[in-house]
Amino acid sequence: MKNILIIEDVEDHLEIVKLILEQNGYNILVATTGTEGLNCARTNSPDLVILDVVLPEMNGYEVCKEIKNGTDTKHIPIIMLSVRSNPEDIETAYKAGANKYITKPFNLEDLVKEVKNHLGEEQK
Amino acid sequence: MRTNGENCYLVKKTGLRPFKRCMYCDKNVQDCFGFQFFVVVMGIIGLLLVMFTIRDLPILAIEITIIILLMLSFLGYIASKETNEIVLTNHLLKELNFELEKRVSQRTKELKLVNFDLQKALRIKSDFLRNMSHELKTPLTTVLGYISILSEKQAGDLNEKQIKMLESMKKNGNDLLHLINQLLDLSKSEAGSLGIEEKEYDLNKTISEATVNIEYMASKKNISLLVQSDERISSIFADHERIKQILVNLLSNAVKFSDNNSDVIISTKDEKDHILVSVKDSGIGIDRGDLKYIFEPFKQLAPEISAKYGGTGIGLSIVKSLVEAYGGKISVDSHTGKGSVFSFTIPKKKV
Repeated sequence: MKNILIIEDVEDHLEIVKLILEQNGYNILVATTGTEGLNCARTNSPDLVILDVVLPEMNGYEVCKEIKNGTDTKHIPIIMLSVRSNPEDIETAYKAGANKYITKPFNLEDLVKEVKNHLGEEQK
Repeated sequence: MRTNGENCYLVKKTGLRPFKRCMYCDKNVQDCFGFQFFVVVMGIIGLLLVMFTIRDLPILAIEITIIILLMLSFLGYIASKETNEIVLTNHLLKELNFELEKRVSQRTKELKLVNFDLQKALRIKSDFLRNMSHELKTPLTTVLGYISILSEKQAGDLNEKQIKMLESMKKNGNDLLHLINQLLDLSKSEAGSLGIEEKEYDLNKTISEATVNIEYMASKKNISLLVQSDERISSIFADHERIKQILVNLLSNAVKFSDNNSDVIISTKDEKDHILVSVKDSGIGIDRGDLKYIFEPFKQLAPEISAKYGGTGIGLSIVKSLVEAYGGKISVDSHTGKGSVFSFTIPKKKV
């Protein structure tokens, strides 16, 4: 079973993403702050990270950069999820090393599709 | 001339009517020159006295000399008076000009300050709109997310009534999201930061994707969406998402303002250096007087019309900003009761 780490501070958003991914057979790890998320990524080395932008302590861009700079973590695909939809926000995310940027509110099916895609799983 | 300083001051104080003011000055000037004239006459009399004391000269010669001297002094007086008037007028005009320049620069400075404040206010408004839109999206993500989970029966079975309710919630939630996105686009267009990402794309595909968005709305009024595309057009180099957004906006307006059982026609035409896309309806049309305001933000038609059809009054202004952001043009042709044709161009660009 593949592990997915969700770093999200909005409780309901965390719950929704968790529900939909668990339903699709993934094992979920959660973190609600930037630093907690980064530590979790370093110790557990998940198969994929779902990352919010606005987070306490350390923002999503910084967490993304740190994960992508770590020798043991740089291979982990990162999907960023945020309400911010300005072109400059999206650009910052990709510059920080994000593999995909999805704006909230997101379509649940699309999210699952992207997760499978980045885990290299075949899609029906 | 400095003795007339007070008169010049009068011009400053009483404003912008130099000629009237100069005439007023003339009286004083004449008084001033009267004194000069008195000096000249006294000089002549003095000279005559000297001549009479000489007595050697014949009386006639003395008389002629007196007349010539008198005439000369009179001419001199006239000339000096006119010259002085011109000099004075010039001086007054210069003072006036200086005063005007000073006022203009003062007003320019004031206008610059006002302009700066206005731009600042506009920036604050745009920032507010953007932040507010993002803030609104956070709770909406929760609402739409749980609606999806519930409708997919991932939290348990639902009866038909509950499914119908959830569908309505989903539709309204998406409408709300659309409004928020429009607000965001408005703030972006005001800040001049509407992102345009151009790539090669099939225009017909863009049109069919846009019509899919409107189909449900059109079917409710039994309106047919017809596409008449120019066969010469295949793929275009443009921002597919933005073109789709423009089309969805124009199509939803066309459907909204059309009568039941009518047609809405989308046509494309290859024209020399651009592609023309038109959306034609046979709806209520736009009054001639309203046409020039139609693309302005927050402008809506007569209150009774907006009350009947609803809307925020920002859709068309966003459409215009979008078209202009990629270098196109938008126009409208409409007659009350006969319908409207909205046309926009897509410049042909090299891939």
